[in-house]
Amino acid sequence: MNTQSSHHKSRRTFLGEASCASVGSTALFSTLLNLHLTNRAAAESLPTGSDYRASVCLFLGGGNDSHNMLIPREAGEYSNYVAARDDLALSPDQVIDFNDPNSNRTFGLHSGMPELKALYDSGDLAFLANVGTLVEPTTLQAYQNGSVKLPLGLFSHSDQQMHWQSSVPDRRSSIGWGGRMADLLDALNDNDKISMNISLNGNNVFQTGNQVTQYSIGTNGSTGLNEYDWNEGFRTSVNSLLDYEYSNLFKKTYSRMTRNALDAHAEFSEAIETAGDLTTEFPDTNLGRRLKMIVRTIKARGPLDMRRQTFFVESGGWDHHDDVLNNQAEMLPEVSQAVSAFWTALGEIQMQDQVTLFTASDFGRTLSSNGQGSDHAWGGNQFILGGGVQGGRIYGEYPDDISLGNPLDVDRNRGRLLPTTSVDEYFAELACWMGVSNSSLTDVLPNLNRFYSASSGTPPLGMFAT
Amino acid sequence: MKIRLIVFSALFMGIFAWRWAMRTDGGAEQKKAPPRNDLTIVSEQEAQEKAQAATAPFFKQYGTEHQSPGDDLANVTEALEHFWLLIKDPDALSVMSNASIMNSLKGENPHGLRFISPTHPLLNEQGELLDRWNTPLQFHAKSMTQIEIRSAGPDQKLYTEDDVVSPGEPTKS
Repeated sequence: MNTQSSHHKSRRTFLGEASCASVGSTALFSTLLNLHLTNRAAAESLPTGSDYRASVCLFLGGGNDSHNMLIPREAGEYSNYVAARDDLALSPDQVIDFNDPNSNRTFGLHSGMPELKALYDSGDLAFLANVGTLVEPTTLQAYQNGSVKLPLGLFSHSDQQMHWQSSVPDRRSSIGWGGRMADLLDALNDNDKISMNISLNGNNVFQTGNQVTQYSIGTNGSTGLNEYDWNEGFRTSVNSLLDYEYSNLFKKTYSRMTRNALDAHAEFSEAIETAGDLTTEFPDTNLGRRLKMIVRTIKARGPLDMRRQTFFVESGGWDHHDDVLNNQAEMLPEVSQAVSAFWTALGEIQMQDQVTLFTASDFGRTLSSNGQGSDHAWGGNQFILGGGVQGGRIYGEYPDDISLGNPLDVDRNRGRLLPTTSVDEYFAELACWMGVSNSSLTDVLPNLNRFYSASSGTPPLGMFAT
Repeated sequence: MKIRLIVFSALFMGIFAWRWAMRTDGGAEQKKAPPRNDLTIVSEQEAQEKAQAATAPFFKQYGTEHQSPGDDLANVTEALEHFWLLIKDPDALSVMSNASIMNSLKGENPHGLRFISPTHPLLNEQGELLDRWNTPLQFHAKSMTQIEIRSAGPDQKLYTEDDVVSPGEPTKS
C-alpha cells in the first residue's frame, strides 16, 4: 500500500499533547513556546484568501537531450549547432521555428511538439534555457581552476536527480524543496489524512519534507485493500484487527498506519467520485493517464479541502546514449500531446490560472555524439506551462554559441554546458507563485542566497505575472 | 608537600618530553618512508619517474592476448573498486568522461594514489582508455559508485550486438 497519511495528524497531535504536558515542565514549556512562535511566524507569512494553487513537477528521468528539444536557429548559431551535434543535429525541416521576444532571436522546437508550440504562441508556455544544479555562481575559469564548489556527484544520474529535487547540491539530502514548501504551506489545507503533496510515481525526494510527505496514488486513484470495499466479511475482519489495542509497539504502529491509509483511501476515492470524470480526451499513454488523474484530483480539491497542492509525475527512459534521434522522435510527441491534453482539461475545469506545470530532468546532455547518442552533461532546457506564466518567451540565457569549446563548455571534446541559471532561481519563482513569502524562501531553498536576494523586491527570473 | 609537588611536576614534564620526542621521531620516520608501489603517496616527480618504470598492477594484463575483453573491463572495475576502497570519498572520482575518470585513476585524487600508469599504451592522446580495438571505453555513471563500463567491441560502434559491458557479458542496449 503506497500511502503515508499520518503526516498532519502526528504534528497536530504532538502539539496538542505537548500543551498538556508542558504545564508541569519548564523544558517542555520552553519547547512549546518555540513551536508556538515558529507556527505563528509561519502563519503570518501564509497567503490569505481562499485561492487555490498547484504545482506539477514533470520529471524527465534519465536526462533529456534538451538541445534537440530547443534548438538555436539564427544562421550562425545553427551552423555551430550542426557542427557540434554532427549526426545528432536536426535538419531545419525537423524543427518548428519561433521567435523569442526576450532575446529577439529565432529558435526551433522539435517538430514532434506542435502542441507545445501552440501553447507557446498563446502565451501559456515558456522555456527556461541552460538551467542546472549549481552550488554557487560558477564561471568556466573558476570551474577549470577548481576555485568553486561543484554539485556533488556531477554527471551521475542518482546524484543529479536528487539535487534537482532537493535543490541542495552541496550535500546529499533526502528532503526535497517541494517537501519543505509543504511544511510551510500545508497549514492552508484542512485535511488531516491526505498530504498536499501527491505523487503519481511513488516516493520521491521532491515531495519529502520534514513533516509532510507524499501521498501516492495511481492512474485510477488511491490504493486500498483488495476486497475491503465490497466484501463485508473481509472488512469486518480487517476492522476488528485494526481496532484491537496492541501492546506490541510494531503491531500498534502497523495497525495505526493501516487504519490511516484506509481512511485516506476512502476519503480520496469519495472526493474523486464526487468531483466526477473529465470529458477531455487524454492520450492512452502512461504520462497521459497520470496527468489525467492529476486534473481529476485538482477537480476534487473542494471535497479534499485543499488550497495548495504539489504533484509529481515522472516520465522515464530519457537516458539516450544510443539512438537518441529515433527515441526522441517517439517520446517528445508523447510529452507534447499529454501536456496539451492536461492543459485542455484544466480549461474544462476552469483551473488554468491556478496550476503550473514545470519540467525537470537529471541534466542536459553532451552536444557531441558518441556515435549513437549523447552522454551525461550539465545545463539543459526546461519548459513551464501555466495561466500565471508570462509565456511566449525564453527565460534564462540560451548560449549564442554552442560549438564545441564554447565559452560555457566544461569539456572541449564533448560540449558539456555550464548552467547559467541555477535550479534555485528556477524553483524560487515557483515557490513565490505558490505563496511562499520572501522571508521564508530560504527555508524552502537554503542555497538560494548564493544567487538571489529575497529582499531585492524583484523575482529571480520574472516568469510569473505579478 | 612541596617535595611531592616537585616530584609530580618533574614526572609530568618527563612524560610530556618523552611523548614529544616520540612524536617528532615518528613524523620524521613518516617523511622518510619512500613510496614502494603505485598505491603509495608520491610526489609529482616521483610519480613521473615511477610511471616510466612500471605499469600499475590493475592494468598489467589489460588489452593483452592473455585475457578476454571481459577481463579487460573487470580490470577497470577492480581499479575503481580499489579507488573507492582507499580514497573513501566517492566524489573524488570525476565521472564526467573517460578522460576525467582516467585522470582520477592516474593520481588526480586527494591522496595522489595512482591506479594506472599515465604511459599505459592503451591511453590515447586525450587521456582516454581504449579498448583492445582502439575505441575509447564508455563509462556510464548511474551513481558515483555504480559505473557501467562499455566497450564498443570489434565493430568499434557503441550499442551494437558485439559490445562488451561490465562485468564482461556481451549486451545489446
